[in-house]
Amino acid sequence: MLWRQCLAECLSLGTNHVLNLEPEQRIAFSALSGTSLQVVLLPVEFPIALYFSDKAIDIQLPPEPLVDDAVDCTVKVALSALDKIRDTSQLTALIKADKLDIQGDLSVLQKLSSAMQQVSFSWESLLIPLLGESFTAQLLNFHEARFAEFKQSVEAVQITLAEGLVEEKKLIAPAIFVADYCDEVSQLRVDTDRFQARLKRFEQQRETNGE
Amino acid sequence: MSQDTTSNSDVTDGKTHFGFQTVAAEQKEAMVAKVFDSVAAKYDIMNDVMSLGIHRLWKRYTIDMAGARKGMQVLDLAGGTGDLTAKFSRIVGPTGKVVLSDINPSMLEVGKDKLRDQGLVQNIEYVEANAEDLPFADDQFDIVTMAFGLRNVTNKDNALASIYRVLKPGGRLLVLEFSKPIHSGLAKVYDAYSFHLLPKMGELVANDAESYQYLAESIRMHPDQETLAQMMREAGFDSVDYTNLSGGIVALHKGFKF
Repeated sequence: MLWRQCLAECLSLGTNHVLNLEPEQRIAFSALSGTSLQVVLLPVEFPIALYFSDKAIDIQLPPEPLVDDAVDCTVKVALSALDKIRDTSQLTALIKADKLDIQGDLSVLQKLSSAMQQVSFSWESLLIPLLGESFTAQLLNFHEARFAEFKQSVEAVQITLAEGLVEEKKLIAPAIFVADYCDEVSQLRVDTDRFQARLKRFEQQRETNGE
Repeated sequence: MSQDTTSNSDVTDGKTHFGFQTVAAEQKEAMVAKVFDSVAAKYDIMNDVMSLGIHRLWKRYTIDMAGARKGMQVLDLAGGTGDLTAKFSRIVGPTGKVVLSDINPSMLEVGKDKLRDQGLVQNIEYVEANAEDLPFADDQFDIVTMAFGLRNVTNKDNALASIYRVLKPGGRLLVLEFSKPIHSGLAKVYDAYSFHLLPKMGELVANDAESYQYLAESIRMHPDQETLAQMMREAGFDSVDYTNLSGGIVALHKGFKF
C-alpha cells in the first residue's frame, strides 16, 4: 500500500545524495528554488511531482495527477520522449508530434532542462566515498564484465530466434493451400449431409412398403 | 485550560490518564512537556530507529492525502521537529504559508534549527501553542495536520473543536496517530515490541527508558480508529474517514469542515 511513498522516499534520498556529491550540481538547480513541477508520464498517466528548494529536491508520487494550478508547471510527456525533454530545442517538435503537453510556467521546464544538462552522474563519484577507490574499481570492472556477458547472451538469443523464425516459416502452409483445404472440407460436409438425407428417405420408403 | 467533559472525553471528574497512570488533568500538560523536553534532541533518530524508518512513509502518505497546493495556508499542529512542515513548505511555495506549532518549546527549537539547516525560512512561521486553545483567527487554514500529537493532548475534544474553528470552510484536518492493529496476531507482536523492546531501545539510544515507556502506554490508551472518527464527527467534521496503515499500527483520519 505504501509502495508509492517508499519509491518517492528512495528517489528523493538518492537524487539529493547524488546532487550533494558535487556542489556545482546543486548550484545548477538553485535557479529552480521555490518552484514546483509535475511530470505526468503518458500513456499510463503516472505523476511525479518535484518541489525545489535551496538545499533539496522533494519528489512526490501522488496517487493521481495533480490539478494544473497545484504546481507551477505541468508537463505531460510520452515515456518514449522523456529523455528528449532535456534538450529545449526539441520541445516544439515534441509538442507537434503530440508527445508533449505543457501547462503553466514554461520557464520552470526550461530551467530544469538547463540544470539537467549540467548534471553529470558517474558511479565512481557515488561509490568511492563509500567503498574506497580500489574496491570501487574492482566492483565496476566486475559489473562491466558481467554486463558484457549478459549483452552477448541476449544477442545470441536474438540471433537464434531470428534464424528459427526464418526456418520455421518455410514449414508453414501458404494461405492459398489452407483456403483450398477448407473448401474441400466444406464440400465433403455437404456431400455427407446429402448422402445421409438419401439414406433416411430410403428407410422411410421401406417402412411405408411394409417390408 | 483543561475542562471536564462527558461522552468520549478523556477527562473525567478532573482526572485524565498519563500513560497507564491516572493524574489530575491540569498535571498532564506538564508531565507530557517533561517527556518531550527529555526526548527532543534525539527525537528524529529515535523515530527512525523505533519505526525502522517507516514513519517517513506514513508522513508521506499524509502529505499525499492532504491535497496541498501552492499558495495554501497550512497548520502543522504538534509539528515537533518539522518533518511535515518541510514538505508542506516546498509544496505551498513562496505564496503560501506553513505554521509549525507545538506546545513544547524544546521540540519547536529543534524543529526550527532543522528547517533552517534545510534552507527553509521563507514561508514558515513558528508558534508555541496549546492545541486546545489555538491562538489563530477563525477560518484561517486550508489544511491542519497533527502527526503523532493528539494522544498527548489532555482534552482531545477541546483540541478538535479548536482545530475546527481555525479551519476555512472546505478545509481539511488530517490526524496521523498510532492506533489499534486490526489483526490479533499483529497486536500481540506489537504489544511485545512496545512494552518490552521500545523502552530498552529508548534507554540505549536516548538514555531515557521512562519516556519511551510512556510512549508505549499512551499509544495503548489512545482511542481506536472508530472512536476517534466519532470524536471528529462530534466536533463538527464532515465526511470523516480513516485509513489503516501498516495493519492499523497507525491510522490516518481525515475530516472536512464544510
